[in-house]
Amino acid sequence: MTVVTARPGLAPRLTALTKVVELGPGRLDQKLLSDAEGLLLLAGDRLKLSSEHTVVALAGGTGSGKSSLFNAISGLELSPTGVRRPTTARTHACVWGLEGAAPLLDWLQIQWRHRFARASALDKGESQLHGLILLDLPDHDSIRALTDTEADRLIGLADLVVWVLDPQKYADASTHRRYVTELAGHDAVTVFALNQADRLSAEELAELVIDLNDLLRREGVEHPSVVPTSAVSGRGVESLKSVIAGAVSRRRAAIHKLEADLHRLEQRLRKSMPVGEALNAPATVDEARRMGLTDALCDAVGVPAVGEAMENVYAERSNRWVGWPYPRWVNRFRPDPIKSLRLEDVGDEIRGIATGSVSAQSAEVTNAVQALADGLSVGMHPVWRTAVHQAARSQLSKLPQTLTENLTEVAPRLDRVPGWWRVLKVWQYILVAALAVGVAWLLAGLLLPGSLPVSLQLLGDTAALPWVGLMTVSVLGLGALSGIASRNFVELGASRERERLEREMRRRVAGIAEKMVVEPVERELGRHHAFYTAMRGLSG
Amino acid sequence: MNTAMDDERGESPGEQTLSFRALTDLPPDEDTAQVDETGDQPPEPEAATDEPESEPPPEEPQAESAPEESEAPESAEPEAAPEESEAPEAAAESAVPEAASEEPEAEPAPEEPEAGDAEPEAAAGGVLEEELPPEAAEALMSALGALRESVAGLRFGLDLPGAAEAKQECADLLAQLEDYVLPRVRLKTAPALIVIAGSTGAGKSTLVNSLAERNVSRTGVRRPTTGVPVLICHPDDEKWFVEGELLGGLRRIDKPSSAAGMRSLVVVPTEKLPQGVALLDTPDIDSVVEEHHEIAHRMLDAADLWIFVTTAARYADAPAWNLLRLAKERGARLAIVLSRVQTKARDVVLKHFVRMLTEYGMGEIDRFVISESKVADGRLPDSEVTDLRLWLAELSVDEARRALAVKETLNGVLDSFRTRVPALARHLETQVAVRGELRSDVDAAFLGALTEIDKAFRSGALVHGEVLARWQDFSGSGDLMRSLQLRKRGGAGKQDSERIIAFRAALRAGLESVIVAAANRACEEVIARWRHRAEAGATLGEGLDRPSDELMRHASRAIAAWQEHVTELVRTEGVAKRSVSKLVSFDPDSLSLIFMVAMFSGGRAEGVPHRLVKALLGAESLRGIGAKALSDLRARIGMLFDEESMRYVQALDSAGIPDESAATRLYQATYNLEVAR
Repeated sequence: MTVVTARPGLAPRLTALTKVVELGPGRLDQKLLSDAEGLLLLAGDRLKLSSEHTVVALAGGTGSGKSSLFNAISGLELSPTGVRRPTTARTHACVWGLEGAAPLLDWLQIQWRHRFARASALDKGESQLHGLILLDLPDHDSIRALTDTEADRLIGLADLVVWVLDPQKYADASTHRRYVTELAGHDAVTVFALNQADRLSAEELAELVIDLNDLLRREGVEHPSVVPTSAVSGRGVESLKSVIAGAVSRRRAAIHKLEADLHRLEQRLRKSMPVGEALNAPATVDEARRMGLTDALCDAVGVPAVGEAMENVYAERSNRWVGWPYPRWVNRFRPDPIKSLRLEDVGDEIRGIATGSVSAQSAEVTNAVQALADGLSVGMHPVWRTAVHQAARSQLSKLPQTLTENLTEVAPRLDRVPGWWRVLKVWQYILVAALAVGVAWLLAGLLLPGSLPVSLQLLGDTAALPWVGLMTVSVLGLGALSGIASRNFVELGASRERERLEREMRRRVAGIAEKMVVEPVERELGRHHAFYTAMRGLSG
Repeated sequence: MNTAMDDERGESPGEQTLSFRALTDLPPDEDTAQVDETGDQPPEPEAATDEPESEPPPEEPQAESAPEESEAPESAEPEAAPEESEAPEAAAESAVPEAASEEPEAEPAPEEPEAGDAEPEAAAGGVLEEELPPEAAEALMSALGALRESVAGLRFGLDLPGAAEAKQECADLLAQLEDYVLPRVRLKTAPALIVIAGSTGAGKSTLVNSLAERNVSRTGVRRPTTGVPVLICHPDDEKWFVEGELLGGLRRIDKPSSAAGMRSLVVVPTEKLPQGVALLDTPDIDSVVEEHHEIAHRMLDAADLWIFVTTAARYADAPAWNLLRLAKERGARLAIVLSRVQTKARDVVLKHFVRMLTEYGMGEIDRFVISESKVADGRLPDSEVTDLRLWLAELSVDEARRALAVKETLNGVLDSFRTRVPALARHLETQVAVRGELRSDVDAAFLGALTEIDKAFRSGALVHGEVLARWQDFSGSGDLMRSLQLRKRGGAGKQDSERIIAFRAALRAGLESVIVAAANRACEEVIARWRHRAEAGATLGEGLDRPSDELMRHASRAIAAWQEHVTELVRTEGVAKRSVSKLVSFDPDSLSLIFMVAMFSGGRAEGVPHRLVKALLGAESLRGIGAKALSDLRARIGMLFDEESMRYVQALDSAGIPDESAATRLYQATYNLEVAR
């Protein structure tokens, strides 16, 4: 895209348009996008070509006298005129100052045999027209024009369009609806020549000019420039020439034309995608939303439940290791429902269920991602909303699996037995043994005081017996106490472990969410933001 | 019929009577006239070659019923014309072949002596009467009435491609039926309405003013000039146009005024116009004021004859040719006026235009040329319109020919119904079909959602995440074992442990999320399908791309109810095997949870929960409860989804799409009309 830097205003706007076109596919209406591309191409081409020349097109309905006016301005009988309609089928061009015009004429696709030149040296008093390329277009409203878009094409390309109207056809819908209304905003590069003025009386002409002015204003042409002309009598041709000469000598018509085109396109773009509040939409995913997503994903994995389960299962299982053994033994004598159902293997399996495996529930994962996208895309244009949703879901199919795999790495092993449990179990058994010894001592001391062998005389010492009894009871109590204490320790450890586990799991979930959801969403949000920034930049 | 003619005659001024007599006098002398023409008149062969272009069509059908009439019109018209204006010079001036060829015929007519009016009149009446036997007319009227009924109620709610055109066509049809066809069929004897249509600035109003010899319609340099249609007719015909049903939708006013608005019609009586023909000056067909096009087309729809006005500068314009195409399609009787022809360019332009017309298959249409001349006070010099006046007089005088022209146009319009109404019906069918498709999209999407949920149940996708953790908690913490021994511990009505409540809640949340996810996807799919199907689908589906806000609440309520239901089932129907019940008791709340886990663990029959509940409840009763629970859950979800899909159905219904019978009625009405004709 070559943009001549010496022209401020247009260049940044065209750059913005380039950006819009770049970001537009899939978001903008196809027609609009291709029109925008077309304008970029047109602007690029036109700005590259001779800026010394101004392309002025004579456009109008059949029979309004374009060719006659063309001949009157050029002063030569270049374009055939006639009474048969339509007369002109091919565009004729007349160039004032041929230098550098050829590429421009090539670009306009004017056939060689329809190009004419006015060497300015020969024409005195026409120096101000130097640089003019005057085009005589075919009509746009005859039945021939239905299949020929030549006029359409050149009206789009010309820097300045002179609409040649006549008293009979000046209010035709084919001119006004298709072009004038469409080209509202092109005031600076549109001139209306009310031709065949010789057919009217002075009063009629005045009335007609007023009517035409009103009509044009109603259609959005704010400052219509209407020039009554007559190719037959030559009246008004000079003033039309001077209007054209003004545009030619300023050499700004091409720029004005492109600006007007750009303005027009901008209006359409804005209509299809209003900037409005769009730039207030978040460009990034803020902390609260990230947290929300992580929370929702943690719920989908069941992180809190996993922690709770771990705590409970540890407490339950630790009982068999560190708990006071006596209640356990008593329990064994109770009937086991599993056994009575002859489902012994199931009993083992039930214990095996609690393996601490972790997995993600895919429906909840889907809903979590959906909620994020919903929240972010509030108030967006539906197209962008869909795009944000798609971005959020781009890796959804892999997400539950990834979460499951990643979190399984840190999942607690619920069948794990820490060393200190074993030590405490030994300690409990030692206490049981001590109790047994104490009980044996008491029994021996009370029942067989005399019959003990000498080596065990000490046992018979009746004075020691109360102490032994006390000791025995204490051992029992110690067992119970240490059971309770170690259970508390287990629970404390488990809750600490749970906190650590939850933190770790959250960290991992957040990491995965960042990589698989937030990043693609932020890319799309960035695109959204850039698009609307460019849209705003269009107006320059 | 006869009385009407008598009346006319009684009231008409002398010249009218005279000219009428001339016509009616003819038939007895028909033979001699023909002999005269063929034998004595050298120009006649020319007439035979040039004339057939326009003349034969009206003649041929007539020839069958009243052959003696066939030649009468031609010979009569020149007779009548000179009396009204100075036709001969004008005709001679004109380059139009028709006028030139007609001129010689002027001679035989005056020679005709007055004879009894009775028989030819009767003959003419007979022609018309024969076309319109009372029963047939009644049948036709009722068929047309039925057609109007079935067209009137049509709605095209879906914004499909072609819907706007169909709406327009529907309105056009209705307007044409009411403005023209029905009144015309009811009273075939009504004066012929000749509508003058054409481009803005072509000089329609000037033409009308010139023919009326007074300024009835505004002329000027401003474009578009005429906004309110102006009708001029003979004072005797005024009653018919002021009170008649023709163009009944338009308010009658006396003179054009800017306040009149678009929906009015100026009726101006003038003696200058022959009886039996009325001219209607219409707004343009191609100016920036688009309402004008609509009015002009409505007028044309009500016309018995069209006069199409174009100019030397305009004759190649696309809108002009669109109008000609329309006339051709409708089979309307047409005359073309090419005005503003510069004298020096006359031959070239005319030749070119005629060639274009001929290429278009319209080379045989009556043509009039008006030279570019000074328009004084909104009127052309009288000499310019003489041909046209002649033509009108001819129509006025020749009752039969006029009736024929009227009938032809009417037939053309009725013929056009043969294609236009079915086209409308076809579009209606498209609408109905698209509606059906959109509806089936909704059903398909929600059916897909149900299948998806079923799949989630079967694949065990539900026993993941929190549910899995809670299940581990439940079993690993010993609650599971404890729940099996409840009776031994005694005490029913014990509060559910926190774990059980949490487990139950987790299951509910899991189920909910599965339902919500499926509903989300279904809604998105509906919208995607609609958007893909038609532009209209996208607009209809606006704001419906998410499930309703109540879905969450309703789903949660439905699942809670289902859980209750399952617990109840387990309590009442899950009578444990006798061998088991002696040994173990169980808590139905817990057991129902285990049962749900078993159910959602999919087909893994070897799984722990499955075996546990099977051992406790027995295979038979497990199957029973399983089937009941599952079908109950499906029904509940189905109801939820029905509620959701209702929103789409409502959106479809609110669009206003007729049912299938409307199209059938249209076809039927068209068929009946054909039969009645």
